[in-house]
Amino acid sequence: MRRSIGVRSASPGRSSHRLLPRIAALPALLLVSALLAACGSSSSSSGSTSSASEAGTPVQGGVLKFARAEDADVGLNPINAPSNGSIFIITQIFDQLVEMGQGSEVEPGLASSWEKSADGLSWTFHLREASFSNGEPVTAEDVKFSIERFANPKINVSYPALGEAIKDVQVVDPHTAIIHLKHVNGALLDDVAMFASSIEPKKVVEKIGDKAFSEHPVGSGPFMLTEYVRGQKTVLARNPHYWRAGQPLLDGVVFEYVPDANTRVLKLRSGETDVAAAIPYNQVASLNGTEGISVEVAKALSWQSIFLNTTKPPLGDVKVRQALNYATPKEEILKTVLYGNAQIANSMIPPLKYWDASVKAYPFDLEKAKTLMSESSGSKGFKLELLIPSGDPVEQQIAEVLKAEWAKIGVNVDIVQREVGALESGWFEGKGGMAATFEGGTLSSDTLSDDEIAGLTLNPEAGLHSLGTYYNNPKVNKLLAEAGSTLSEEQRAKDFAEVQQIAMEDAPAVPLFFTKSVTGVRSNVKDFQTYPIGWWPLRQVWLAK
Amino acid sequence: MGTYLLRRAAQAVPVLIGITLAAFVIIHLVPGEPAKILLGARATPAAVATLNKQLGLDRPLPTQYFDFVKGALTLSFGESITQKTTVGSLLGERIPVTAFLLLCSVLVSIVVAVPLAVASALRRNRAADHAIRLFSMVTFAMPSFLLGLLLILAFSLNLRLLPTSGYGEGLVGHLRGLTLPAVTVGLYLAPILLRTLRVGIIETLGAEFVEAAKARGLSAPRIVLKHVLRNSLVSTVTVLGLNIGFLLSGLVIIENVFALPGLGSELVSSIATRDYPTIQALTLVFGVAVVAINLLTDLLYAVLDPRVRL
Repeated sequence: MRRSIGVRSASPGRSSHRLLPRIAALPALLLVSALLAACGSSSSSSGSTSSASEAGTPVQGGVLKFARAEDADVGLNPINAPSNGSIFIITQIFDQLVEMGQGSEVEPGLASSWEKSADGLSWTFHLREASFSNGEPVTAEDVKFSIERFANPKINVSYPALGEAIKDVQVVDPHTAIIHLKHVNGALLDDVAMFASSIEPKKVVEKIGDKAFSEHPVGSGPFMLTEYVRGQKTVLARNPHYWRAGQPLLDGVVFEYVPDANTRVLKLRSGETDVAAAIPYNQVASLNGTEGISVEVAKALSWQSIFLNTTKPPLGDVKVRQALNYATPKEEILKTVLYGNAQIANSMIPPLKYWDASVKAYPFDLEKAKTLMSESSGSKGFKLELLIPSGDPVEQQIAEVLKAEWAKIGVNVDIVQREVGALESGWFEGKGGMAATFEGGTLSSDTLSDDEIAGLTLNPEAGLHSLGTYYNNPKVNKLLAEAGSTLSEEQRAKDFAEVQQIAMEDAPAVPLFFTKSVTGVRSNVKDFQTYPIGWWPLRQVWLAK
Repeated sequence: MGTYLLRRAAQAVPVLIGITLAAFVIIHLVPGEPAKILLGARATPAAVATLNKQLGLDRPLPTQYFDFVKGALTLSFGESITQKTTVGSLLGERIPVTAFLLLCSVLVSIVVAVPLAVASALRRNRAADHAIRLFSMVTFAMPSFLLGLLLILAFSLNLRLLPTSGYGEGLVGHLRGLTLPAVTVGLYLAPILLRTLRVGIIETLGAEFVEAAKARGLSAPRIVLKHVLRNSLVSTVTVLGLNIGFLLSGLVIIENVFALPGLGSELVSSIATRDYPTIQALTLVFGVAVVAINLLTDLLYAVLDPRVRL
């Protein structure tokens, strides 16, 4: 899971990061609010800002200038890339066997087709004709090399669980590879679509080693790295060997590192940049009202929650946890703090592939909350220590609203601001705080299906103590195991829907919103899109003259 | 003079040891470890332990500190934990940016402060004096990030004269990129200099040698520039030196607003990722810079005032 990070310093813009491995998120000062979360409804949701039909015929050429809140300062090696600063550029340089897109199903990538054996333990991938940016062909040997690295927990140390089911890869011929599994994995295609399973050229990695490869990556994706200037910019040029005919349309992309959110907005306004990521919520409306600029508020597989440590009394009592959910005015927070740029959550995890829209979110109902409290072990009221990341105005505003409302049901919230690293290291180990929210407020998925995030959030065996809630419901664990080990889509959908229902009732957290990606785009940029997974496919983007 | 420098250098040693030791202890006391941040909370304990070993973080803290000191003596600070490069090359990339910014800022503040201070002192308590003092109060009181954004709005967005941010390329690019941040910092620093200098000039104007110069028929500009200003500068130089040290830490905000790849922004991000070697090296650089600037201030003092002997 990736985490959106707020950032240090006075006031954060938010940038996204993977949940766990976070690295330099960089600072965004002043402004704030964020990014990742975003938007809702009205403004342009998802999809392209300007579709080809309305915008004329795509033309080739030009260099896209893209201001980001994060730098790719940790290198561009797909294995163990620790931050979105790197990941979102890795996905421009590398391809995977199958790809994520706008939908909830993976699409053909380097593999033009695939089939599975009857027992679900062998997956055969047929590779298309494709070349790396050095001109060498992509072969089944490269697939074996890359996927076995992904499956090796000694190499893939950041995401070991996602490659765990893979036993080995068999090379049938240069264009055919078979992934053999140790056990059935219902999410295999989703797992091999993530950035960490990108196909790397075996010869190059073996020759120069991982460290040099992270500075001189070679992939088969639409762009290739030409220059990286630490703390300033990452320059990509079109990969002349890219396999999709006629793409990419751009000659190149310059990702500029602009940590301050206000400065990104000003760069967009002045036309110094064509695209600015992570626009603060409070500037969405004004930018949308500016000629030549539109803000894309896109669906994202990310969510914001107040996690409750269920081992700390009286939070072990489900009635107390439900009362907190009923006493949370999500509509009001959405309107006043997020400026409408999010969707109220009806699940403990983001709206992934098997999300059930029909589950009810907790309505704001103080009477109900009071009744539940009076029946609970917390009926005399209690003090609740809520950890929030320091220097993040959005988190702080949300916490203040909660403090005011929860006081009405006898819960005296003590807001504690913690530096991010300190907050997380304490929270996941059950030390410090009865409740917490993470930096930037949001966490996001790395894959399209529910397995990864549902496991981390609800299953203590996934290694993070159910994201520090210590939630442990044997029934949920059983359903998750069942869903993970079947290939029946029907069964998986049923299991995850049941998990969603049970988890909402058990309420190990107070889920607030499904957050969004907020990106400012100038009108000369055509066919720009944001994928729900968080990054922007740039191969089809073109610049109007 | 030689002995003086030696003595000052010797005094700097305990100061630098104190600073780096304090930074070392504090950052290790703060919860959060680099291996977990780098690998993610989901990494297995074995993977974390392996990385800690690779990074040398499994050794006792005193050993780690002494290794840092040993490395620092030969200017070798090791590898950054999170960024794929050596700390030495990180410093090499970032020191020039911050040094250049600081230099330009000080130049701006001098260019603004000196003429205004002279004008203000010569027209003491008249309209011009009040106007100048009011102006200086406003720019001093305004938070630098706000002033910076206002300048970007005016000069980049409306007039389109300068880039909103970034360090640019080549000397011209750097100068264009540094103009607004230097003006922002300079306008914060200028009022401090202006006020000190104004008072200095007023005091000096009342001195007997000025009366004597007037009596000998020297022109007013000559008296002010040659005699008054030099005698008034001593305290201003001290104030400037102190403030540069202070500014070094304040540049973090300016570097962020203007997206400048300097030392301040690096320090902030390395603390967030618990990049111990980088934090240690940066602390040392800041320490050395402050000590050096103070020394320079004292030397300048002697140059300006021949009565001061070193």
